[in-house]
Amino acid sequence: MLRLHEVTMRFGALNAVDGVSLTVAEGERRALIGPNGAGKSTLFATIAGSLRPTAGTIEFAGRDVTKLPEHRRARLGIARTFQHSSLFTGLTCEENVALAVRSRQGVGTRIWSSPAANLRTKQEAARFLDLMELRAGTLAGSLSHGEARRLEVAMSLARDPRLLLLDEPAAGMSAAESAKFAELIQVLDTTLLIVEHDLDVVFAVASHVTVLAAGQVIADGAPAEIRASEEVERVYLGTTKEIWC
Amino acid sequence: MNPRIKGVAVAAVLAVMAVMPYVLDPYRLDLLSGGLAYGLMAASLAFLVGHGGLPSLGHAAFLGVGAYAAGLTAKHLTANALGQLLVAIAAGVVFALLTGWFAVRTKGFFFLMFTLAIGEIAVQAATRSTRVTGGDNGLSGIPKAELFGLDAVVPYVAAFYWWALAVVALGFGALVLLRNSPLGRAVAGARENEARMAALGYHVTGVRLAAVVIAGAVCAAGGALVEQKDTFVAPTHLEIGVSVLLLVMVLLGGRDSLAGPLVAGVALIVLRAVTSTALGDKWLLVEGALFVICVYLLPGGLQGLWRRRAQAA
Repeated sequence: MLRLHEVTMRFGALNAVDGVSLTVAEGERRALIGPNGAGKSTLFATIAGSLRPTAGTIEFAGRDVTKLPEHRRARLGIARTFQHSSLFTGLTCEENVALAVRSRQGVGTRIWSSPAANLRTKQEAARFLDLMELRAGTLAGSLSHGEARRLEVAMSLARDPRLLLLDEPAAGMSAAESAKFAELIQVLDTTLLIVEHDLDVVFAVASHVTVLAAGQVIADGAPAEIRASEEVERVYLGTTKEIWC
Repeated sequence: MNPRIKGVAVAAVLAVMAVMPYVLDPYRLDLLSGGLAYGLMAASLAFLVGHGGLPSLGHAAFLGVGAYAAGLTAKHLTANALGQLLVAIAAGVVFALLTGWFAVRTKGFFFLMFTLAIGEIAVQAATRSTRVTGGDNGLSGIPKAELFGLDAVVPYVAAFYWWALAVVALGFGALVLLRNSPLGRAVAGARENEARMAALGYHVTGVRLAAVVIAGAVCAAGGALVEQKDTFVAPTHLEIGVSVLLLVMVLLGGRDSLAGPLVAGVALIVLRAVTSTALGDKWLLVEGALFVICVYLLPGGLQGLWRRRAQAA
């Protein structure tokens, strides 16, 4: 489904992502963990297409997408959420999701749509709003933090993606909120790549875990193996315990 | 507002406007025709600035493109008013594509500066290409537009008023429909959050370019009306002062609305005629004062005032 080959992203002298190779199979739920500054978000941006890697190639669904701009990759089936909620704050929840629905239907820039088509869009949007437990009429700018995170996911899902990139979806959520969020995610059958600091969410959701440190992959495996790995413990889980627990 | 009530209200306004030739004297009727043209152009600018989030300081360039295109068509091709209008709209679209292709790659302040530069270049082009445009003296000797034989039945000024009213109503209707269309919603999305639009699969610069083309085409239609009314167009029609006047209409009318700027456009043209007869050059003082008042007291413009009253009621 997704294959990264030696992807490198350099900012001046800094190698934010340093030769990462990674394969995500169809239907897999891959978590990407690592300490702050490990290059997780940067790697995400290169996969989504908002950054073009300095070196390396990115293949999606058997196609080299390294040079494709972000909106073209989105049309191929890559959807992402943003680390900091990135919504249309002046529009309602419904309209936020409807923009995604219309983009998927391929009618996003039509100059006319029939009342029947409008109704279909509305119903489609309602499906995702219900799934994420959001109300249609609320202004996106007035949502609570947890609701905003869920709207992020609803918009990404409304594109019916083949690959969903979730960048710290549970950041800033309360324990109860993030547990509920993990439940919502678990019922999705999309191939998933998730960056997350909340290890409860990671181990609840992921089928595979990749650990990134200083821009490089240092471990890769099933959640249980990662939990048992000493090196991971040292560079990441250890510090995490001190900081987060 | 309930769609049925809205439909009745629109029909009532159109009906009242349509009988104006039987109410107003020729001078006032002519003034109202001009007001409608500027109202349409103000609404097109509101689509760009308010709905699209693209602040333009060179919108008068589209007025000029439409006016010169219609005038040149009248002199060299056809006396038919509709033919002139269509050429003007086509010219507006081409000009929007040429300038917009660059402009939409800039944002905010830089978009403002870029459109300012385009406006200045348009003035220079109109002034310098003397053989085509008549230079500083303007394009004169334009024959009156033929109004489908309507002027044989009623005085020309009345026939022209109806023509202008029809063009403005259709142009404004098109703007409203486009604003509510999927494309219009994508334009609003691009205003709200560019990165998210790209992530959703939208070509953001393409969407913005579409907004510029829509606003440019409608404004050029208004420009054609301005030329047809006076059978004259000069570089002064394109000057920064005119762009600013259109912006004042947008601010006064409320930039979140299309109807507000339309009304403000008509009102401001009428007010200018009244005050400039009474005060001469001091009209500019009135315009400046209005501008200050609407920025301080009416941040939402007339539309905002309307909404506040609706909420209070």
